[in-house]
Formats: sequence, structure tokens, C-alpha cells
Amino acid sequence: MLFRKFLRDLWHNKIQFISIFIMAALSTYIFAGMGSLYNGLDRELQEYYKKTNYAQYKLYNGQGFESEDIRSLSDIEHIDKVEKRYIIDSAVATDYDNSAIELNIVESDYKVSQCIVVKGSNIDNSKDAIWIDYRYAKEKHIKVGDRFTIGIEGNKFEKEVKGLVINPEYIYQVNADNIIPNHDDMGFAFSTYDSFEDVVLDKANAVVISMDYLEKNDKDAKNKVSSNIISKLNNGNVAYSELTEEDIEQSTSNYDIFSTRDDVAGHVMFNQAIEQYRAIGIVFPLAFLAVTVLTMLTTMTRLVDKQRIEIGTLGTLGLKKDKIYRHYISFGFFPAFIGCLVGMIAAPFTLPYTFYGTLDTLYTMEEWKPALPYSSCIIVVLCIGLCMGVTYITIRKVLKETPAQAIKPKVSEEINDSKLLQSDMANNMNFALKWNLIDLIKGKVRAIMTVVGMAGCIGLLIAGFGFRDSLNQVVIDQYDRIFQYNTKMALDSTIMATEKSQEVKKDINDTYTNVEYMYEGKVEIRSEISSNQYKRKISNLTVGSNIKNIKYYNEEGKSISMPTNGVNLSRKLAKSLGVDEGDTIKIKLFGTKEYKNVNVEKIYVSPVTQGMFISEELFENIGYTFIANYATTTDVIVHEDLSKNIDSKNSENKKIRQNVSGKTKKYSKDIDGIVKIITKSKLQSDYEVTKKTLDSISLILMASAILLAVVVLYNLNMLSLYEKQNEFALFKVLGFKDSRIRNLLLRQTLLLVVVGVLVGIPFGLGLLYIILNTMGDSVDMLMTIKPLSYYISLVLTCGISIIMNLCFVFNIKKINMVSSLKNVE
Amino acid sequence: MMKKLVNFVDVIKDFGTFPNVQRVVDGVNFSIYEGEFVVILGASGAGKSTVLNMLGGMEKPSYGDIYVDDINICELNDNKLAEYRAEKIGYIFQSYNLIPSLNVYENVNISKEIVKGGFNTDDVIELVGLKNHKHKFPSQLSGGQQQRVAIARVLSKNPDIILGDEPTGALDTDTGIMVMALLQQLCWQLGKTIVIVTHNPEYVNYADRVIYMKNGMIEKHMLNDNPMQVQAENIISPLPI
Repeated sequence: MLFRKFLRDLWHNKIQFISIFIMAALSTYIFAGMGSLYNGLDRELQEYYKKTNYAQYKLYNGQGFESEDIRSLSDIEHIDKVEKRYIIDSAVATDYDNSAIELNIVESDYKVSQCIVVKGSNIDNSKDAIWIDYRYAKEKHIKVGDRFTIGIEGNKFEKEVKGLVINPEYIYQVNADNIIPNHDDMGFAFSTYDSFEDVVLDKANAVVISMDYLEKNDKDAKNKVSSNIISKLNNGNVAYSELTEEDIEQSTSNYDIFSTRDDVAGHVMFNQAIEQYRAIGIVFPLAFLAVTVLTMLTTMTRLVDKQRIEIGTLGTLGLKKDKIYRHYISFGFFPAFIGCLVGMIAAPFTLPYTFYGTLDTLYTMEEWKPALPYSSCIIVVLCIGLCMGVTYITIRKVLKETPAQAIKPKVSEEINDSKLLQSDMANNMNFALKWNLIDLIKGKVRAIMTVVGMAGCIGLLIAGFGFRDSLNQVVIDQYDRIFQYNTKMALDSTIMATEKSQEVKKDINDTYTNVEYMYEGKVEIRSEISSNQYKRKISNLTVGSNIKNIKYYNEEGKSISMPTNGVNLSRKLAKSLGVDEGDTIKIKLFGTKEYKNVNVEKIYVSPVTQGMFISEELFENIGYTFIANYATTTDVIVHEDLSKNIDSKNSENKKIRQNVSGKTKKYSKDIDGIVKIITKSKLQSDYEVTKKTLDSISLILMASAILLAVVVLYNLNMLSLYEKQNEFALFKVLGFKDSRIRNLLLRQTLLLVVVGVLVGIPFGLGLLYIILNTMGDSVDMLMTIKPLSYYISLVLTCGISIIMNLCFVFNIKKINMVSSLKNVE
Repeated sequence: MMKKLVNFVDVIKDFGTFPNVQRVVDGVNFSIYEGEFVVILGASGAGKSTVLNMLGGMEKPSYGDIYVDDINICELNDNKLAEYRAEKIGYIFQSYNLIPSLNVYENVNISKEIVKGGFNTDDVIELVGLKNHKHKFPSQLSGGQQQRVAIARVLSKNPDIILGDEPTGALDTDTGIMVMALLQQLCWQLGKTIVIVTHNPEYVNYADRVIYMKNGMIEKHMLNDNPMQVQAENIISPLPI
């Protein structure tokens, strides 16, 4: 009989229990779904690394490594394999618009950072073979068996495509101007010493090192290996711990670049994405869980209150307390359990897949597969436990009374001792105000929950709109204010290093307007945090003089001048190095051996590109040679062959191009020194693609806000109505109109909304700040919220409250005066 | 010789906490014998319902002892009290207190979840004349019918003592008489001990023992050698049990 009662009570309160089911399902769905996503990403990444034996370290030396270097490194404890490589990062695909190709020449039996063959055959010792980046090949419609011509320093080499591959070193491949990989524009290739023996002989300008598997996760072992590698290549057998930082910096080390996985953008960003999803997977479910518990609390409070006399009757009949507890706690258990079950089953097969599309535009992985973590049980246990817990607390209040007390109607608490209500101010209040004050004092918990719900709603709306505004602001900041050029030309660095560079520059200057020349490269930066404690980062470097085509701005939005006696650092880079204006840092250009001291002159904000700017003069003063490898112009350059003009393919690009100022010129093929054209509109359209995928975050925030407000207000209003049913019945008997009763409630709701808004705005700003700061190391957006966004958030929050309030007009109409006022004694 | 079933010894019941203590029952002493039909009479606030609640194991006295079948129920813990209420006591309320989400049959049958044994559910429903209303819900029944369901619920447990707190208070006169007749039948034919609380002086005539209460104390205690039989039209037919 009790089970039948349970089922019928569930049905009579189906709306409330369905809300609980939905909220429980949502919280579990998001927790398990995001868990499957980040756990799957982590697992697939580790599997990928393990399968390919991805290198832990990569060393470069422009002058080449000797066999003795490789042998000595192999002796280091915990190192598994050391292999030589020859990397040509300036190769081009001559048949495909001279798109940049990074060519890796390896031994045919190489074992470190291996490729996974997607199509074709494994890397072998074929003399005439090349293996092309699968993503690049797809864009260019290159098939296995095709002939592929690669240009190296002006010479062309034609090879047969034996395979299409992916490689963990190229999980994320971008150039300095972009945050989205453009596989149409750049790629990588692998070949063997056998295929290129005429070019590279047996030379090695890079060494890749893998560690024993178990040691890879051991931080101490990694540190020890790092130290030993540096030590071996610096001073032979002297222990690293005996060298000071000064020694290391000042010694002419036998390598140009020492990089670990943590220096690889793809590895870092992918792991940051995993952490971001992990954070989302905790915060959002907790919010929904809180709403679930709130709904359960309000539902059970009403149910138990309504069934108070029934509970007392069951007690008088002789039903033991534990059986009564079990009966009512089932209300807490079943909706939550079924909701969690549905959420847990649906999540791994749906939610992660909504992210894979976006992830695939950024990263190249072997597989995208979700993996439900064991920790997903936590949310289930928490949800069911809390729901049962609040139910227990609710029923306990009634069962603490004797059966004789329980069968009598509940006596409302006397609150006449409130000093506030006895004050002169209260005595002078009108009825509506005083009634609301009394109600708020009586229902403190309900009032606080309304405030929290409204604060959450407006906070999430502000964060959602603010995120969208910040994304839109990037277009203005980066592509209107910072990039004053319309086209960037990549120059052939081999030609530009010769006397022919003057001829090239003359041709470019004669053809295009407002041309400026720059050098862009990579630099290793070290900063001192405390004595003998350093931070190291690899970043982009831009060198130029009297640059007007790129303008820099500080945090306040003021334009800053080009550096003269020091360097300008982007804000995110400065933060990661722990430096500020006036500090000294050490820089080492890739391909050189010595560190140079420079001062940080100014810090600028750059949403999309992070790095360092130095003047040509200072660059040469500290011992480097300026060779321009890029030129910018305010002209918009289009390709002669319009079918190759990638700008016209996309209608979004067309729109952007129409807004661009500057002359339109044809791309001249006569200038040998120009390797590639990059238009600003193309960069902007790539960013628009990123923006579209990130928009989903703002939509999630806004949808959550509305759902939160609706569920919270609905449940609290229902509770309020139930508690005040007799009072409202009395008002109706006395002659109050339904609209007057509704307005009483509306005033209270609006008052609580105002308080909620005041609390919620700082919450929203804080949330937005956190979201923008977890976007990764390469992105630094300024937090922007337009006044319209505040206004819309406020209108939506108030609007939802008013609409929910209006819904209760119908419930007030339904109050039966006779049955509500019937009393037992 | 009839067995002494209930014995109240110097029972006092206070409500509230110092300094706002109200003494509702003030040193009550009485006994009830097995098979008696007892009426506790008094004005509102006399303490009669409190006495009934204490006998029913729903309240504990502040002082004194209550013996039922030689067991001091004041010394029982909550679980034991629940067992006492399940096995020994049947309680009929003025407002019936049926479970609205269960139909007639289910309301009566709920006793089977509490005690083993007792009478067959269908039999007791037939006994109270509600055979054709088995599947109706309380909201579909009149007050008298609901009270008969409550009596059936109590009877199906086959308790030793049936307590009624103003069992006819919410009913019209004729229906009230009918309910009283049913209760008297349970006493005379099945030997149940019935204790009724009422402020209706007419019911005194039907009782074997009458306890008059005033201001928490027993004012008068009477025995009736010739209690009248309740005359009711449409009385339920003689108990088939």
C-alpha cells in the first residue's frame, strides 16, 4: 500500500519531480559528458604519444650534432632513444603556391616521434620517397602515388608520395599571425636520409630524445635528465648541479635550442584545453546540482507539510519511524536516481561529439574518442545522497514530534518579537510593504535562495554576453587598431640574405604602397624570478624600424611607441615570465648560442599574437644580423588567378574584403623574392571561424542562466504559494482581488531581483574574467562588456521574474476559499 | 471476573517549558476493565483528549504511570510504543484521517503492513457496509462513510482497545448514532474495550463506565450497570466475524 501511495504521490506532484529528474539528469549529463570528453582527450593523447614514442626533448644545432654527441646522450640514465634528424623549416611546396612545408629527414628505421600512416606505406629506405602531412594533402588533393616537388633554398626535388601521415609534433601547426591552423597554407613532410643524401649527406641539425615510459611521468626523473643533457652538451661530464646559471648562460653550449614538450604550443594548448573542459565539467554540474537539491528541498517541504496528518496517522496506526523514513526518502531517491542514470547513459555518446568538430579544426589527432572516467560516479553519489539527505531532514522535523502533535495542523511561528517589526518605521509602513517584510523574515531561506538564483541568472548572462563582446572586440583591436597593414608578404630568406635583396626591395617598393620590412623568428627568453630561480619561454620575435603598419597599445588602450633601448613584450608573455616594465630579461635567438641581456621597455596588449618586439637598431647592437623575411603593405593584394584567391571562396571573406581600405592591386609574379601572400582579411576570416566555435560557450552560459532562473523561481514561487495558501484564501474572503494578491508577490520578487542583480553583477564579471584567462597562452583578450549587454541581461532577468510571477496568477485564481480555510480543530 | 486492562496511576501531563508551563492533566487515577465501553466526558480543554492520547501511546505523561495489560507503557521506547500502537490500540479520529491517495480497500489493508494477523480486509469492509465502495477514494465518500472506513481500518488490526476522539464530532446526528451503534456492537459482540472521548452527554447512557473530567482532573467516575443499546436505523447487520 505504501508503494502505491508513493507512486500516486509522485504522480500528483509530477511537475516538481520531473524538474528534479531533469536537473539531476542535466548535472550528471554535463559532469559525465565533460568527464568523457577531457578523460578521452587525455587518454587519446597519451595513447598517441605512446604509440609514436613522442620525443620528450628536441635539440637544435645550426652547426650540426656530431655522432659523439648522440652517443654521449644515449648514456644518460632514463633515456630510451636518441636519434638524429635533419629539419628544414623553410621548404616550400612549389606546385602548391609555395606553401610552407617543414621537412623532417630521418633514418629509415627511426623510432622516436614516429608518424602514423593514414594512407599508404610506412616510412622505409626508398630512395625517391616522401611522406606528406595528411591534413595538408587533403586540402591539396594529394594522393598516394602522386609526384610532389619540394623546394629547398631555391632547388627543387621531386619525390613520390608513399604515404599520408600524422605526427604528434604537429598536433597544432600555426604561423605567428594565426591561432587557427590553416592546412591549406602549411604542412609538414617526412623523408629519409636515403632519399635526400645528396642534400644533407649524413648531417644532423636536430636530435630527438625519448625517455623510458615509466619515467616520463616522473617529474624528478625528467628534471634529472634535463640537467644531464644540458650538462653533457655544455661541459662534458661536469654535473649540472655544479654549474651556476651564469655558467650555463655564458658558456657556448653545443646546441642552439633545447626544447621539451612543454615548449611545444600544441602539447601545451591541448593540455590547457583538457584542463578547461575539466573546469567546465565541475562548475556547471555543481550549479545544476544545487538547483536539483533546492527543488528537492522545496518539493519535499511542501509534500511533508501537506501529508503531516497522514504521517501522524501512520504513526498512530503503529507504523514504525524507520518505515516512514524509508517511504519518504524514496521520494528523494528515485527521481534523482533515474535522472542520474539517464544522464550517465546519454552523456558519453552525445556531449563530447559536440566538441570534436571544433577540436578537429584546431588539432590533428589520430582519433577522437570519449572515455567515461570512474570519477563520474561522484556526481551520482552526491546528487542522490543530497536529495535523500534533504528529504531526511524534512521528514525528521515531523517525526520528531509525537504522533499526537503530528495529527494536529501545524501552528505557525510567532514572530512578534522581531525588533524591526516593532519599530516606528514598520508601524508607518503600508500594508503591502509590511506584509512583504513579515513574509521575508518568515521565509529567510526562501528569500536567500531567490537572491542566489537571480544573482546566478544575471551573472551567467553578463558572462555570456561579455564573452561575445570580448570576442567581437578582438576584431576591432587586432585587425583594425593593431594591424594597420592589409597584406603581408613572406620573403625568400635565402635571397634576402644576398645582395639581390636590394633589387627585391626596390621592386616591392615600386609596386606597392607603404611597404615596411620586418624579421620574424623564434627566441628563447629567460627571466629571473628569484636568486637562481628562472623561468624559460620560447616565443615569437618581431624586428623592425619605424614600423607604422603595426600599432601597439597598452592595457589602458593608449598607443605606445616602438622600443628604442629595450624590447616591448606582449602582456601574456610578460605575465608568464613574471616580468614588468623596467625588468631585465635574457634572450637567445634560435640558431645562435649566446644569451643577450635586454630591458623590458613597454608591455602591450595583443589579443591574438603573443611575442616580443625589438628595434632593428638594438637587434644589431646586441650582435644579431637583420635579414628581412616579411614585408607589409597597406595595399590589398589579390592573386592573378582568381580561382586561387582563397578570399573569394568564403562569403564571410567577401564581406570583410569589402570593408578593407587601401588600393587593390594584382599579385605580381615577377618579384622573385616574394614567397607567399597573406591578406589581413584572410587572417580575420580565420579568426571569425574561431569566434563562431567559441560562441557556443556564450550560448551555453545564456541558456544556463535562463534555465536556472526559471527552475529556481518556479520552485520557490510554488513553495511560497503553498505556504501562503490559507492567507491568500483569507484575503480573497475579505475581498482582495486576485491581481492585488499577485502584485503583493510581484513586489517581493522584484525586491529580491534587485538584490540578486547587485550581487550577480560582480559574480558575472568574475566568471567572465576566469573564462577569458583560461583561453590559453596564445590568446589575451581584453574583457569587454558593452552597456547594451548589461541592459539586456537586466531586462532578461527582470522579465523572467515577471513572467514567472504572472504564471502564478492562475494558481491564485485556483485557490478554493472553503477548503483552504477548513480547520481540523 | 473481568480483567483490569488499563490502570492510570497519578498521571500528570504538562505542556510548554518553564516559566510557561500548562498542566493539562493533573493527577488522574482510574482503571478500565476488559470489554468495557467507556465514555470520557468533559467540556473543551478538560484534558480528555490528552488522556486518550496518553492511553494510545501517542503522548507520554510528565509524571505517573499508565499500565496496559500489566505493562507500564510509560517506560517503552519509540519502537516499542509503535509496536504497542500496532498490536494493542485502534484509534478513530474526529476527522477520520484517511490517506487521500489510497482507496477504501487500500486504506483498510494498510494495517496489514503494520501487523500480521487481524481480520480479513474484505470482511471488515463488508462489516461496515462499504462492500460496493471498495475502489472509491476518500474524496468520493460522505463523512459517515469515511468514518466507517476508519473504523474498518482499526478493526482489521483486531486490537484489544479501540480509542475514539470525538468519533462522531464531524457527523450529523443519525450518522453519529450509527457509528456509535457499530462501536457498541464491537464491544458487546467481539469483546473489544472501547474508550470514547466526547462532550455529548447523551452518550453516557450507552457506556459501562463514565469518567467526567474538568480542569485536568477527574470530577466524577460512574459505573452503569445497565447501559442502553444504541438504537440506530440502517444499523450494520450483526457482525459476521
